[in-house]
This record gives sequence, structure tokens and C-alpha cells, in this order.
Amino acid sequence: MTKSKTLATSLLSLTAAALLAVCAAGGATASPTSTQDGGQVASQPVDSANVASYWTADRMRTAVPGDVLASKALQRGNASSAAAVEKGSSTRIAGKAGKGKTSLHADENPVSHIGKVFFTMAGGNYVCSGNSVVSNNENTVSTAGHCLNEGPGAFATNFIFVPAYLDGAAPYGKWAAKGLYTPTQWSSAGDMQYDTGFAVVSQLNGQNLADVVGASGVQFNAARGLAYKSYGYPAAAPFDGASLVSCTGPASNDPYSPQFQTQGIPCDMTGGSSGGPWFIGTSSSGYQNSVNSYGYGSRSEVMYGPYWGSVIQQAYSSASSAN
Amino acid sequence: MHRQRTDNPEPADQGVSHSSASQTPEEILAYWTPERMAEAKPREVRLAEPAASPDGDADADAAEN
Repeated sequence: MTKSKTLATSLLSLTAAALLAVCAAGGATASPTSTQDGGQVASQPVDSANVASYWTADRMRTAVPGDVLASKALQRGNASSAAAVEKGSSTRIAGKAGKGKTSLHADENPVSHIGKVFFTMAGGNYVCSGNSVVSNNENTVSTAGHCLNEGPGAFATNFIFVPAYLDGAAPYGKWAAKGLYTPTQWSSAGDMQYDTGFAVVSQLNGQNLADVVGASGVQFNAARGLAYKSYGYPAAAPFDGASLVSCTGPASNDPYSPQFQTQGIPCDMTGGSSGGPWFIGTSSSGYQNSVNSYGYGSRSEVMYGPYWGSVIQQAYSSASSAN
Repeated sequence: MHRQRTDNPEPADQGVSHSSASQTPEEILAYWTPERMAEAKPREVRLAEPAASPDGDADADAAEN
């Protein structure tokens, strides 16, 4: 206790001394310092317009770290008594949120079983997101239905999964798909209720995908309104698809298209994140229970995902048991 | 279980459509040069901006890149 008090006292004294030192450093062109509150508060007027113009890009870049000044203050050894520093009643002043838009995503380090998928569809090359999921064949990847089938229409070709993708690097290799599976309701009608698909990839260097990168557990017919953490590689502006991003929040029903029976979470991920996994809870180690599917408008702040019920479970089972 | 890929969805099990790759894994991997990967477009489904009131149905036309 004595030790920590001494340390705290020293730090407070140091901070006060450093602040005074900073003021003194700019004092050559400023007005004289005045004192208020019985000599305990020092102040001086500042010409804010000139100060702002003083800080050119070059000056900001070459500014010396403030701890140099703090070191000088420490060398002077000035210190108030502990009694003077600690007197007064406990006071708390609440902060205020800025007017800036709150980000609805977080940057993430790569996760071994989450990656990007690349494929050819209707003559064009596309990118989405995917995740290695537990399966009988140990080579199954989940993604969105619209990332492996036109919905309605043809299936994709040249489909690969690149787990833990980071800025062009493929630390666990590229895995080519040999089979694609989706509910018929998606492939024949593009029914948004079933916008999920599964790819079965070939072994790479004699190894199964799940043995190399791991595989998420999956859950079907779960309760609605759970809290999720979703992941993806958004590539459309303002993102560039180079790295993994996540969103977290409670799911709620789509109020605009209730017939889809989808759920949405707060999320501003853009195109390229489609097919990224939704995990129940707050981490990538949870059970996967949906995928990034769709949003509304160009600046969507909600990402919707299909409800993983028995129909999607059937597509998963077919893929999981494929050789 | 695995069939040659066709342009039309095929039922694998009841309610499930399936497509098998007609190319070898080596051919598929060779296709994805760094340039093609870098230029691949994000595929997304963006529905029309909903009306102010959630009571009305949104236009379900998908806008895909």
C-alpha cells in the first residue's frame, strides 16, 4: 500500500510538472501567465488560429515525444506533499459521445478456419467469405448460397477456399472445391430464406482441411434473437478485402421482409463479406449458426443472415457426407 | 453422388442441389493467378432501400455486383 501510494504520488507530481514544462516551452511567444483560485491554477490566453497554422505536416511529423519534457521535470525533482495532492472529495464528470459515426465493425487478426472464397459465375470472377465447418469428410466449407449458385441458375466453377487470407497471402494454402451443395429452394428460386451453401474441397498435400485449419461446430434450429459475432472479408468501399473484419450484436427479425424469416445484426460490412460465418456468442470458437447474406441500400448498417433450420441442415448433411 | 457439373441445378438428396467440379483441383488452382484473385469482384445481395416504415414490403430485387 505504501509503495503504491508513493508511486501514485510521484506520477501525479510528475504529470503536473510535465504540464507546466509544456506550457513553459511555448511561453516565448505567449501572453504572460496569470494565476487564479488562490494561486493554484495557472492559465494563459492562446491564439488558437495561429497555433493551428503553426502545426504543419512537417512539424507534426518531427515533433519530439513529450516524455523528453517529463524526464526534465523529473530531474528537477519538484514535488508537492501527498496531502496537497490527495485532498478533496471524490468527483466524477461524465464524458460525451462525439458526433462522428460509430463504427459497426472491428478489425480482426486472421482466424485459421475463416477465409475468402473465389469463384467464377456467369463469366465473371467473384470473391466472398467462407468458413471450415465440422463434417464427416473433414473438407466442408460454409458460405452464402449466392456465392456458389446464381440463385436461381447455374452453379459456380473454379471455386477455391483460402483460409486465414491476409493481404494476398494464403498461409494454409488454396483448397479447390470438388462439389457444391445448396438447398434447392435457393438454386431453383433464389429464395432468400435459404441463402446458404456448402463446398466440399479436395485434400491438399494429402491432408484434410479440418486437420489443417480446424473446423467450427454448427448448430441448427436454434432459438431466434441470439447474440452473434460475424466475420467476413468486405471488399467493396470503404473496405479493400485485404483483412478480416467482425461485427457483434444481438439478432432481430428483418422488419422489411418478414417473409424471409432472416435475422439481422448491427454491421456495416460490404460486398465480399457474403458467406462469412455467424457464431453464437462473442468469439470465432462458437457454434456457427448463419452466414452473412444481404443488406438494404448502399450504406447498410444491418447485415442479415438466413435462419439455419432443417432445410439448410439437409444441405449441410449432404455436403458433410460426400466423399 | 458426384456428377459432372451442368448449368442446371441437380437434386442431390431431396431438397438439396449439387454440382460436381468438371476440372481437376490442379486446374482450378492454376486458374487463380494473383491477378485474377486481385481483380475478383465482391458478390453481394443488396436489396432496395426500404421505405421509412417497416410495415411495407421492401423491393426484393437483388442488386448483385
